Amino acid sequence: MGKLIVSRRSFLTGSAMGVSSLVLAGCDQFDFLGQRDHQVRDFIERANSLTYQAQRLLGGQQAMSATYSESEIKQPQRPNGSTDPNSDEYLALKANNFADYKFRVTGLVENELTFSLDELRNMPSQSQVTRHDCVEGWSCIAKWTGTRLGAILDQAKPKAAARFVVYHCFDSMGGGLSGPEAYYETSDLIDAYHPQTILAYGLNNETLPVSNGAPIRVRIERALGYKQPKYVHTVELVDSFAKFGDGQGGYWEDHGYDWYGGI
Amino acid sequence: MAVMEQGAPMGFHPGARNTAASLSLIGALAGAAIVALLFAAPAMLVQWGVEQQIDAVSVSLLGAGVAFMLLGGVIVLPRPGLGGAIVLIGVLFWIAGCINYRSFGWLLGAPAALALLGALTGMISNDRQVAESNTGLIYRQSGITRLTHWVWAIAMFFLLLSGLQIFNARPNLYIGQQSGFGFENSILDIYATNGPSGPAGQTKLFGQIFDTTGVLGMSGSAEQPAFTAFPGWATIPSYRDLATGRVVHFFFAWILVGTLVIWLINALFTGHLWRDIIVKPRDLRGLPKDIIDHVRLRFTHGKSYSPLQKIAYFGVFVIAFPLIIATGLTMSPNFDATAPWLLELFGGRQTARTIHFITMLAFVLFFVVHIIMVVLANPINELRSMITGYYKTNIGHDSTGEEH
Repeated sequence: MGKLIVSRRSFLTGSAMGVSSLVLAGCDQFDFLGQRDHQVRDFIERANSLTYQAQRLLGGQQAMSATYSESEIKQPQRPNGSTDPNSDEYLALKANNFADYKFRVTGLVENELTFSLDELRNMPSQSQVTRHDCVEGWSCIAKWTGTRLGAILDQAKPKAAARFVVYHCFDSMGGGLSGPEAYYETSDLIDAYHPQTILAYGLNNETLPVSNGAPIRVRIERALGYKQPKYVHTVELVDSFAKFGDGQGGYWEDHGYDWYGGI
Repeated sequence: MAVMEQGAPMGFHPGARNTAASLSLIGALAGAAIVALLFAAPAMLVQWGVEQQIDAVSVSLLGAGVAFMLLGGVIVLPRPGLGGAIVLIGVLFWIAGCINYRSFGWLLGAPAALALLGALTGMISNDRQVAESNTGLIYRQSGITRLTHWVWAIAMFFLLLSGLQIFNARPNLYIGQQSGFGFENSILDIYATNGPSGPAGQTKLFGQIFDTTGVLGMSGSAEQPAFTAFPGWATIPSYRDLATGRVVHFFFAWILVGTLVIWLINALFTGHLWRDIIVKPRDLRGLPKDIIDHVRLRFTHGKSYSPLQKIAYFGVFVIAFPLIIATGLTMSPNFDATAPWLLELFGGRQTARTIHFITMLAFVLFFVVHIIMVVLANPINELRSMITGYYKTNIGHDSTGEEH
């Protein structure tokens, strides 16, 4: 019997020691997962592609984002990220109330197109009261007015090789060791052609203010806030976004966030 | 515990014992060789993806792992149950060493995998033999139940800590579709503030302000305070990194959901769900007595769960798991387009986020009670049933063990 008690105790003590050595050292034990090129992180990041595939499979291409009544607009749209770009080019355009602004469609298209802000405003417009979900966790309901990106892409006639849309912006983010980096985003063609994806120039029945992305902000309503690029001047159709930025498909994606951004 | 003591006659299933010993000892020797190389000639391991210098703590943990594997691998021949348990301890130490060393390749994984197989072979073959002599040891937990249990334990650990990291990016909870910036709909707010005696951490819950300096809102040392909602020791990573928190959270969310699906299919087909999880009138009738028994710390060790156990597991599988998954999906703007009824069901995305958080608290509470009950009931027997599947039902009727 004595032997047995020892074995029990040794088992319990042993397991307790094994587990507690994990827990005690546990404070920063998993910080290596923050290393962007760590093999384990590379592996677990694959779950993001699974999420993307699964949601596209379940939701199809056309499922519409929830819309709200105007009475649910209870506050101004919260600005986040860049709120006042300061590049010379942008400041010059802003000084002139964006009269000289040009919106370009380039890349893998049959027809490269250029539009002035007035031309965009004169195209068929649509308004939608939708919920903006920030990756940080907050949400804000606002009314966005603009013209469908899909109709513009139809005019430009994407070539068969086109798979993604790159959204080029006037603003830059960060200012650390690497210096400021131009903000850009990418989406697949499904999101670009989605009926609710618009080039927004109006917010809550007024002209889109600078803090929210004037003159044009792309709304991809089924994605998180960082997939709604502000200050957009060019959309470029590409077969791969590897050569832009760090090749991850967007400013925040280059900083470790998932490309899909739908959850 | 006379059962374990007498064991089964030697040579009854010699194959299993030999397999257990071989696997454990091969694992131990491979581990010893790796530790020796890490110590003496780390350059030889570079091609295997081991790059960094080994530190003393990692060597000690890996070395302890090897020692337990060796010891257990020898003992497993005469005493497969005990030997297997000792090998299992070795595996835990080895894994702790790998985590501390931050290396997870095939090279470091192989010894643990071999020894784990050896440990399980020894322990399971032991219990199988003991159960044949019909001494109250019964087969209670299926392989699927045991496997999914441990996968969930690991997944929930990572989900909790990465979830707190994600929460820290916006340490408020709101009711409704959106977050009130121009109006008030926040029920929880964790923040740092400048008080009369310097910075402090405060938590505002339903309008009531609590000073939570040291834990919530502000933590760390006086020289190096950290102004995060939940402190670094409760988050993965320990520093602010929402992107990584999300990567970890969604990976383990898939692991959780995948194992739940496997478990559910199995539980439906084997009747486990209906028999052991779904609360029935009979369980409710037995509830008062069961509560009294629990209050007096008299636990029954039967083949099936007691009413309180059933209610607890019913709550976990039928309420909490579906709720935390559904509210998690409601936070996805894309999934809301696919299933807009989720927004209606939970009363908005921000309410869903709040429910997700509260369900997390319920899981933490369940975990604490779960561990307390395991310790109070009979930790060896409970652990045994979740490792080999075999459970002693006649505890309290014979005169061995710690409950007397």
